[in-house]
Order: sequence, then structure tokens, then C-alpha cells
Amino acid sequence: MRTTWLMLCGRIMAVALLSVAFAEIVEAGGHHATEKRYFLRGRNKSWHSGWYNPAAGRPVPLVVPPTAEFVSEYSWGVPSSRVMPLYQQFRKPYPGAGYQPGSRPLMPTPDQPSDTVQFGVHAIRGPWGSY
Amino acid sequence: MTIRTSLLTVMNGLVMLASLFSASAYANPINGGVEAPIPDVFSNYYHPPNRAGAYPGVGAQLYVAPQPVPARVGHTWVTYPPFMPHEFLYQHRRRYIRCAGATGMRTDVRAYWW
Repeated sequence: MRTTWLMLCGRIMAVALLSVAFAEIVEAGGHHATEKRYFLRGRNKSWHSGWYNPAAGRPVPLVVPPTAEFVSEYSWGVPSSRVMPLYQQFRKPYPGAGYQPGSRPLMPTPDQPSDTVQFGVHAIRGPWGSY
Repeated sequence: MTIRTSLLTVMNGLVMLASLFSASAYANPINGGVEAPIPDVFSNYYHPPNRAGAYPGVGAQLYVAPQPVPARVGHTWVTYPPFMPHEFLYQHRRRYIRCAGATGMRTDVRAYWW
């Protein structure tokens, strides 16, 4: 009887230890590590595609919550959908005196769009606020 | 006379001790009560442009105002940054820990809001 009780306690302890270790592995550095990873991977990437929104005359950023991690894009053909990581995020420091929100030679939305990126509306994560 | 003087001295000491420790009986705010860094109400949020590389692109800004302008011209600013729209995009959470009394007790409060 005593041996059974000891085995039960040991199993409970093992399950507790395994669950704690699994939680730490899933966390993998926590919120700050994820934020740093997304920042580093999105540094040299543009937030828009080669098309602009004809109504606005430029690519339009779509503000999404900063907790968003992926964005879905749809198209004709194969593959008909993509799930892309959403690295871009609005940030505080001013990019500098050379910052110009003007336009570049981009293409307007075609008459028969074949992909959702051709609408020129692209998601950017909102900033983590100060409050 | 001597006993009375010593009693007065002890009473004075007790009063001074009470006045010293009475301040620690309340939850004094840490860092002057300022929980967050003082926000810069004259700045905006941006996404920087990429001029070179495999993914060139233009920049973007989150709000139409305030714009970066010279210091000698008029400014626009955010009157209350906690109510800026991007603050409502995610759940905020804070944990406040304060000393409660001189006996080592403490108050631990978790706050969540959107």
C-alpha cells in the first residue's frame, strides 16, 4: 500500500516537472524574444507590394493589433491562399529627415485582379503603446 | 526632577519615533507615482522606408498628425495619449507591488484592461 502511494506521488511529480518544462519550451524566451525576432526579420522588408491602391494613389497600410502574427493572402490558381508572417510594425522613432511618404513607380490594381495583394492594402501591426 | 526629565525625554523620543514610522504605514508611491515614462505628445508612429535591397518600399505613418515640423512653427499634439486609438488594440496588463506596513506585508495587484 505504501509503495503504491509512493509511486503515485512520484508520477504526480514527474507530470508536474514535464508540464513545467513544456511550458518553458513553448514560451521560448517570452514576449520580448518574439518581439525582437519579428523586429530583426522585418527590418529590411517592405510593408507593401508592387501595387498601389487606385483610390488613394499609394499603398494603404491597414492597422491591425500588435498581437497579430500572420496575414492571409488569397489568389487565383495554385496556391490559392498563403499565410504570411506579419513582421511590420509601427514604431516610435522618427525615421529621419529623409523620410518621405511619397510614391514610387508602382502598378495600379489591374482590371481583373488575381491576388489580394494587388489591391494595395497591406497590414502593419499597431505599436505597443506606453500605457 | 531627574525622573521627570528622563520621562519627558523618553516621551519625546517616542513621539519622534512615531512620527518617523508613521510615514511608512501608508503605501507611498514609488518613483513619485509615475508608472509609465512621460509620453512624447509631439511624435507620431512610423514604418521606415527601404530605399535599397531586394525589397524597396515607401514609408508609412500611423496618424495624420502630428507631423515633424521645425521648432519655430506651430505644433499639434495629442492631449491625452492613453486614449489614442492604438491603445485599444490589445489587452494591457500591469502588476503593482507595494509595501504595506512595517511588518513585511505587501500588496500585490494585477490589473487588466483594454
